[in-house]
Amino acid sequence: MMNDLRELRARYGLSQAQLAEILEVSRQTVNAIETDRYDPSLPLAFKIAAVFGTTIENIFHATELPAPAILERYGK
Amino acid sequence: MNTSFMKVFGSGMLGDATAASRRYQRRSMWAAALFAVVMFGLGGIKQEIPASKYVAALMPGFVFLYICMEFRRYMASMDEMLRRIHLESIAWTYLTALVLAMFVGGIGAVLHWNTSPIWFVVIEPVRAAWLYATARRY
Repeated sequence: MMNDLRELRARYGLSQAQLAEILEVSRQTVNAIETDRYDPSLPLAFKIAAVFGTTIENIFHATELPAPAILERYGK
Repeated sequence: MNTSFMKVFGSGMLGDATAASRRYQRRSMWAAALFAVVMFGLGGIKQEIPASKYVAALMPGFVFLYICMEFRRYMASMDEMLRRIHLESIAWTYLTALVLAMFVGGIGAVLHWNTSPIWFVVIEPVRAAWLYATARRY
């Protein structure tokens, strides 16, 4: 999963340590999320979105989504 | 996650300098030191005081029970990624220990080795190695 966390953080002038303190996680966790090495849990993703006053979809972007053909198989 | 091998190997932790990590490190080191002092001390007096053998028998179990309880408290204080790294490393250590136990058990049964389960403690450096390897992926 890709994300725009680094850009968002830079826009608000926050360091990784400051954002980590706001989110109550370690700086390493913020760094791992920014470098796409760790996908946060849903509660943490919501918290990140809330901090920047936006939605999860505006920050995190799925690299692989199920194709509509898969849904067709289930008659949807 | 960028962390030093010696730091992870020396402490079995990821070098996170939180109050909880320092408390865990301090308490487990005191417990291990007490364990070493009592066990070495008992080695000399076991013959003279027969009851001391019960202390020697139960000491390792109680010390590691205490260390595990402290580790659980430390884990509860971690954020989700650090906890995931620790749990992943424990899972890999379990699988490694299972394989090693089968090798040692099988070979030991054939060669009539007199192995004691207390040697299971040497699995701790294996956990540290897995902790380091797992942390490198994040």
